[in-house]
Amino acid sequence: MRLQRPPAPVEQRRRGGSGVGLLLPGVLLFLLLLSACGSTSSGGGGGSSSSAPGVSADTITIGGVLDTTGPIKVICAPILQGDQLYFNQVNAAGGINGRKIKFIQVSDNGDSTRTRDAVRQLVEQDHVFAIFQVCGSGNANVAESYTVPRGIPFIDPIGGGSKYTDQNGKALPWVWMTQPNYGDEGHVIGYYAATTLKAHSVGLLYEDDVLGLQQKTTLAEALQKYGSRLVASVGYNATQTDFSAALQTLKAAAPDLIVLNGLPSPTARFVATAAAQGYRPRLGYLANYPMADNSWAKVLGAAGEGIYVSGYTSMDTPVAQQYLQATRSDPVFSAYKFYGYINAKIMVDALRKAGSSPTRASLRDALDHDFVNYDTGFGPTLTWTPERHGGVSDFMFFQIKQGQLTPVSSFIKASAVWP
Amino acid sequence: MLALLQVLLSGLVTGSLYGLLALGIVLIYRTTGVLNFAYGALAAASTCLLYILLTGPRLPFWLAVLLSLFFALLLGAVVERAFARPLLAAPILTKAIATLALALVLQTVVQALWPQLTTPVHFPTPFEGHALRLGGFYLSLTDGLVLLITALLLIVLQLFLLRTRLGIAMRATADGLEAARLMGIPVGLIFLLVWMLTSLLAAIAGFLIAARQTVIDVQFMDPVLLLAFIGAVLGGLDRLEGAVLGGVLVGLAENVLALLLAGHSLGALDLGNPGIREALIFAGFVLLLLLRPRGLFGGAALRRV
Amino acid sequence: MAMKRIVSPLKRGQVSQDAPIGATPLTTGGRAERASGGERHVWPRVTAPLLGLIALILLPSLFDLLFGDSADFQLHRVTLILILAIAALAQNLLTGYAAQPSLGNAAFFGVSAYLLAWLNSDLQQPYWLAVLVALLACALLGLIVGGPALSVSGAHLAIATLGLVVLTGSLLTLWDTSAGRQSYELTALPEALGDDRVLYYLVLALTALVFFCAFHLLRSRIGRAWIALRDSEVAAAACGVALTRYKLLAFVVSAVLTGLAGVLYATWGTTATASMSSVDQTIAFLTMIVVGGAGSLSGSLLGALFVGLVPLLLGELPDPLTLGPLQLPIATLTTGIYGVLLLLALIFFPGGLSSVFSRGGRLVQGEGGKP
Repeated sequence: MRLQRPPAPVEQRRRGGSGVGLLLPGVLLFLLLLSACGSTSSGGGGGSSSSAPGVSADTITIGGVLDTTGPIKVICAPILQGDQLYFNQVNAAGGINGRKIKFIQVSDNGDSTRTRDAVRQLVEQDHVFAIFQVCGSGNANVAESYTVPRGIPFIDPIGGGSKYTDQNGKALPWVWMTQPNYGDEGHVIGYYAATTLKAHSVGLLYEDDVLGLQQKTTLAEALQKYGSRLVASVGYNATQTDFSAALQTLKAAAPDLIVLNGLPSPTARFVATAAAQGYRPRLGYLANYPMADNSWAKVLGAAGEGIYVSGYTSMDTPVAQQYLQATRSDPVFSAYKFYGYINAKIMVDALRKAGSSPTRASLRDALDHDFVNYDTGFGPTLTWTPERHGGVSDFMFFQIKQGQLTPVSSFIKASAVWP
Repeated sequence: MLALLQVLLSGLVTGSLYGLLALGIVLIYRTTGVLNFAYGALAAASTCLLYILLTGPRLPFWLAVLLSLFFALLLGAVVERAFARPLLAAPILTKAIATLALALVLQTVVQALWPQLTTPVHFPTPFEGHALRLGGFYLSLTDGLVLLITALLLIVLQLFLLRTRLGIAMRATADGLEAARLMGIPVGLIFLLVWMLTSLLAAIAGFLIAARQTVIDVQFMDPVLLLAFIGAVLGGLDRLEGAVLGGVLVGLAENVLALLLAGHSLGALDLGNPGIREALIFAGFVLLLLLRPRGLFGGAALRRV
Repeated sequence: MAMKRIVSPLKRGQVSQDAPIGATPLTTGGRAERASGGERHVWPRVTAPLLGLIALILLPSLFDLLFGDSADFQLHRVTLILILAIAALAQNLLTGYAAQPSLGNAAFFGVSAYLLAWLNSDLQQPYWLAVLVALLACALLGLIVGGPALSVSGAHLAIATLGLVVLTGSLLTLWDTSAGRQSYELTALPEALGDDRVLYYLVLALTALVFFCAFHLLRSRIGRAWIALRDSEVAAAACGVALTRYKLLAFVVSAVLTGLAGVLYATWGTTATASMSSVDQTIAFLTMIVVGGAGSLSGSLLGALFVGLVPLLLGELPDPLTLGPLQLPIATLTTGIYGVLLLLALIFFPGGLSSVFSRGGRLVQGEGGKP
């Protein structure tokens, strides 16, 4: 019957004109009420009793911008879970110098035009002590242009392309990177492919963005230096549905080895496409660190056997074992969740080192001076000095054997390969 | 040459998958006037269930498929009753936005139910690793199945719409609601059945896409859906065979461009760049529509399903 | 009429229902206003928007009282809503009034922001010059898009313009990638605009101006022609409305306004990204008018409020949310909650939220983008 009801004539439909007036005050009221709710519900750790914002007698409030609603939620949402897991463990064990950690997360929807607003919410409304993690390189860069001038410590911008130096290569104050960058990794992969695997010609499948291109450059450099050659490279984008043409292009160049750069799902689909068409390079594949994860090996199934993977975390370490213990009930291992966990540990160590009444300055001093050859507890060491704020740069290699990542090398320092 | 053949085949298969999706998009658009942007989420929900049935209780493959298809029918019915029905009389754009909202809800529910699917997982099928080999040319079992099932479904649907009472009733509803009502066709029931049928089609397309990619996650249908819509519009949005052809065209264009442009550059610009390929495909689509405003295969004022 | 019939069976009933109105299309706009302004709505029509404006002008002081030191930040969020309202208005003029179901507006949104970033940050041109160039470019683009769009209609137009948005987005991404940028930050913005209050008052003034102009535009010959187009293209043509000219004009006006929203948005976020020209963004514009009310000025405001504010508020919920014995990972659920709210809004207010405000006992039926 609904269909037969005549639609109201146009006149009624556009009575909006009269509505505007009634509307605005109503809207304002609504806005005020809701904003007020918002600010009281998460205001929490205001720093009234202490000298530093976000630090009270029993709480340290820190904040992160992690997309849990938008296009990169696949990456950032599990990272958030890892963060929360570690912070909860620390809180259960009594916190940091008697203070519990309160971690506030805001989603910027993966959209860097919204990042500034998200960081402002954390700093101006929620009064956080420091920023821990902003997910996405571009997003992190936007966050930095807010935090750096204001002297707000920002630890772990997530994304291999995040800035931690200024135009002159000088370390940005107030930003500390933990993640290795793709450029360093490209050098180490090139070195390993040419010297240990003895690949004379190498093909590259890379994600077509600034990071992928950066790795393409450094990989080619290192291959050249160590007597090998990059013979073909094909870019893909994350939403690509068909890898047949990419495969045929790389196959035509007959490389000994194909390096896979970027994200787990597209690279796995490339390998599956190749397997379905009966192709595998002579030495197989070498994937970069986002694929250093047993769940990727599982995704590949039989086609994954023998594939090399670069990585910077080792599971035979106390922190990794502690993580595996804590996540026994998870259906699958998530490399992203693990990432959150190990970085939350670095954050907590930094807060511990910042003293019993931490200020932003004392945290900065701790980060700049107390992290020299710091043992991360998950494999590589990390060094931060006032001049160097970059992340770890040690890589090791694994090979997939019976569906498991099995270490086949020790850690190789990027600076040793490409001084 | 072999490489080109292989890429053409792949384009044909990818295109068939777009076409299969476009079938459902056209069917539901023609009968209920809904531009169904939730179509990908419907497909993903049923496919994710299939994955869970295969990996959780480890049901036999065909039983799991059967159960998931049944679920798809149910899902279609629930969606129609709960949300499409109340919005039946709403303007077309309202309905389109509602399907987007529905997609958000479906995706969130699937993700909350099965968090393991937020990361990419291997989608196991018995077809994996089997291929027909002719010299250096490979036709994988999955690809063969995709072509076969798309062709079969197209024929079956055509026959169904042309020959069966129900199909004729559906076409009548699509052609004119009032007239159909006057002829005593239970229009409400027809809408319900159309939603169930398209949800079923979505599920089949989802299964095949998952089988072909071998990797899925909650959002695996997102990038495919837009291309399927483009296929549907190229096909004219009113004929089933047009939809499939439109989809195939998109798939072929995508693959052939990728192969031809690889390794070439224009000054400093790398033409093999996927961004350029994407831009070319969409530019081509917009241009084609300008030349043929009602799609390549769309009839001017003729009405067909 | 034949073309209309193919598009959707549901439309046909409505077309015929509309026919008596369409027969005198040029007068309906005027009649509508007289009708609503007639007896008891005389004073609210003039005074109420004014009151609302005054309230918005006083808002910063109120926020000082309410929020203390986070007042600036809260104000910054209201600024966002106002910017979105401009974009919603742009979509509404094109879709809700001139009945072009175009999903292409995000293309202008992104292009204007990138032009601003390029001219202002890279080429060091004055901000206002950059804005002006961006708006002119949008007008030109609107003309280029609008021209061909005349021959494409209905769902075809919607998907074609959606394709245009994806095309623009991939070109912008290409630009980013080849320039080696992760984010296109606006580094040379005028210092004054860094002040939240200045930005707020600037945006408020522009929004008020744009809505004021739109209000009068819709009552002019142009607006009446658009409405006539919407009610029945055939009838409008028969009555001597120059379809081509008015449709083109709708595209251009909409493009310029979206461009204005784009430069303001980039200024607000101090960044331009390719995601400003994405399917999601363009859908957000459409959502604003559908949920707010197609063919209604107040609907544009309400829609902007819904689409802009609801996700922000949901994002304020603490994660995990503890509800009795339940621990909800709310951060990953907010998208779904937003979807549910949106669905409910559409089901219960099919004519848009603005229909709440039109009284008279009749349930309002929105008739937004008629293909």
